[in-house]
Amino acid sequence: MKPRIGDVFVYIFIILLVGLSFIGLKSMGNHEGKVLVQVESDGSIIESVEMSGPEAEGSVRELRIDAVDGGYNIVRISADGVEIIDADCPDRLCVYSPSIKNPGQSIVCIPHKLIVRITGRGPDKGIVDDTAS
Amino acid sequence: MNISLRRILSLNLLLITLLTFLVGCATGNTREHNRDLFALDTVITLRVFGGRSAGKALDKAAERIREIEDHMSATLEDSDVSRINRAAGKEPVKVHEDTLFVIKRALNYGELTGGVFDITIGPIVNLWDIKSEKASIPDEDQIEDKLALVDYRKVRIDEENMTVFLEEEGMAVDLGAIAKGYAADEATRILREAGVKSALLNLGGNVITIGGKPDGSPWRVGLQDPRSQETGQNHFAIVEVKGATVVSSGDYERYMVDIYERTGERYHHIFDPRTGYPAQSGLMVSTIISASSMDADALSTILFIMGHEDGFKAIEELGNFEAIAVSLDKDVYITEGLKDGLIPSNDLYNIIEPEAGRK
Repeated sequence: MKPRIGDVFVYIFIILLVGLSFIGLKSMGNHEGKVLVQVESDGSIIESVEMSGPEAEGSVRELRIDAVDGGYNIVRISADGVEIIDADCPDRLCVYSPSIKNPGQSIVCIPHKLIVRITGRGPDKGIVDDTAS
Repeated sequence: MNISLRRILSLNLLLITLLTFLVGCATGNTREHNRDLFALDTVITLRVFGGRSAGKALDKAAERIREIEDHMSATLEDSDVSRINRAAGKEPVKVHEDTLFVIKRALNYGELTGGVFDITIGPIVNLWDIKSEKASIPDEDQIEDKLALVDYRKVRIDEENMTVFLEEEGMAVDLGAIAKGYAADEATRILREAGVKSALLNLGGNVITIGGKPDGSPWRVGLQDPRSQETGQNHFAIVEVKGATVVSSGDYERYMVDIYERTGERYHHIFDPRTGYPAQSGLMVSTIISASSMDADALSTILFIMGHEDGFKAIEELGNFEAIAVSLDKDVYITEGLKDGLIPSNDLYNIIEPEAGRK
């Protein structure tokens, strides 16, 4: 039995659709992996650096972040965690905030509209999704 | 195989593939929509899971939160709250419907607790000015003076004309202990109405969940360790929730650090309207888990001020809530419903089994 020309089109169409679906699925599943430290100033991400892994033991980075309305915060990123070590905001609550290490955690400086956040899925996946404070 | 049968077969195949593709698209579109806002004197993080409509709902929810801030902020000059306070002792002020709703609800909590919850705490809050750099302990006389202006029964509401009037000059309302909760409830309502099935919101530490995670499992919410600087731990325990809100009040968020270091006493931001001083009920933190965030917001403050014994009794009378109270000795008191729900995560805290027969 010979396939008709119309059937061939249908088959090609089906194969294409299946192929496209796979591409879609692949891009969806690509969320895991890197743990990033994101610095957000007034709602937009201005720094995004990879969290130091065990191989980066001893490497310490300090970022100076200038706030939108003036002022600064100094963010320190090391294998031990992320913390704000200095700032000229009035309450300095961000400096007193404990250091963070796991995805989902964040430090906030409300006067400077700054959020330092750890994103991604680390090895100890999802200890908590959020923190009530 | 005759021709028509083959046609039907290939048509079916086509249909099935198309359907699979469409379903794949629908679920594939379920992604995280994120938003951070600085509003209501705090940081607000909204995480909504869903398709494009969820993203639109997120925009609406954020807009609504801004609107509530415009009405209820203590710092914006044109807010209803600022206008009410400026006209104290002079004249009634016309307010927005939501402000009226929140004030009514707050006054109701004032009545239910005999003034433990009092939104006219404004003069005391301003006197202490805990947030500022130059905060210091006020004189007793000053506190006495300002305390005379704290009385929720002197807030007059005219529902017909939608006005609020503070009877005495110098009075001031502060919706700090309830506005965030209301904003959370409003954001949740908007998202739910748009069909959002999974969301995680955080309004300055108040955590609100819609449904569970996108995979259906419950959200894991860590409860902030009130002494994390000393213990080096992030949480004193963890709760798993679906569609509930988790709100804490504690002595660790805003307090005078220098004074604390000198005398060992903590002057924090939650004031007892009966004394004019930061509440000293023996608690470091109180947490409420409930359906309504506004209730949880008010009740966590009430529990914190009353302490665990009286607070638990009051909460039990007020409705269906779960509560956690952590004493200065790091004892964790819980309501009966949390017996199996609280996940220990920190050895420094000692979870006390609830007494039998008591909620």
